[in-house]
Amino acid sequence: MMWLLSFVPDFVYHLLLVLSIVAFAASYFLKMIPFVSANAEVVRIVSLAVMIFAVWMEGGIANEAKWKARVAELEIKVAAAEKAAVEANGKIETVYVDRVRVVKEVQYVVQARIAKDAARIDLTCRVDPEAIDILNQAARAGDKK
Amino acid sequence: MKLAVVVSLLFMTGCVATPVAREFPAAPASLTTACAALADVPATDKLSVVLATVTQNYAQYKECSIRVDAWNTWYNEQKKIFDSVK
Repeated sequence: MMWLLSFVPDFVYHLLLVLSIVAFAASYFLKMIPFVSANAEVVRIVSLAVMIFAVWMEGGIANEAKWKARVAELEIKVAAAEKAAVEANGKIETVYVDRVRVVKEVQYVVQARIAKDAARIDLTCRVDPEAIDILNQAARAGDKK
Repeated sequence: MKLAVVVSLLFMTGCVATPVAREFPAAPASLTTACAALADVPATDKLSVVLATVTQNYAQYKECSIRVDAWNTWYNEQKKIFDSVK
């Protein structure tokens, strides 16, 4: 029934409620009016039915307003969370890039040192081909085939 | 009877769902790249060549390890932010 709220403005239900209360009261108190006195029963039943419907819809309006407020509150929280997520992404990426840069810098220094001392290192040590095979086998362990 | 069923169905259409769509954020592209395979030592008898390859592999491992750390941090942080909205 609440789908009606999308098509009919809220003030219509407020008006219906007020009119039905007035009509219901009138069916008791305005018996001097010929139309009311002649149709008192009908007016009472119809106004009561309209009153019940209007009260029901008033409940729906209040509920709808509560949900709309909840949605608005959630939208604000989601927007704040999205902003925080973007900021967190930026910070994490910065830390990652900085740490990788340090590794690359150290790697550059180490490679330079190896190149500088290569002659001295190679002078006193000859590597057996078997050692190369063992190293490469270890490096390939668990690789995708 | 049929009318009663239709009317009661109409009354049941009051339930609404909160229309607030949410998506878990995407991870930065730099964290989602796969770790490269370790380099093989070329056939050589020079220790300096072996050393160069081994240190290159160490660096590669370090980089991959940092990426895994960053990935874990990213997930934990984003989950905390995502779960904070209630």
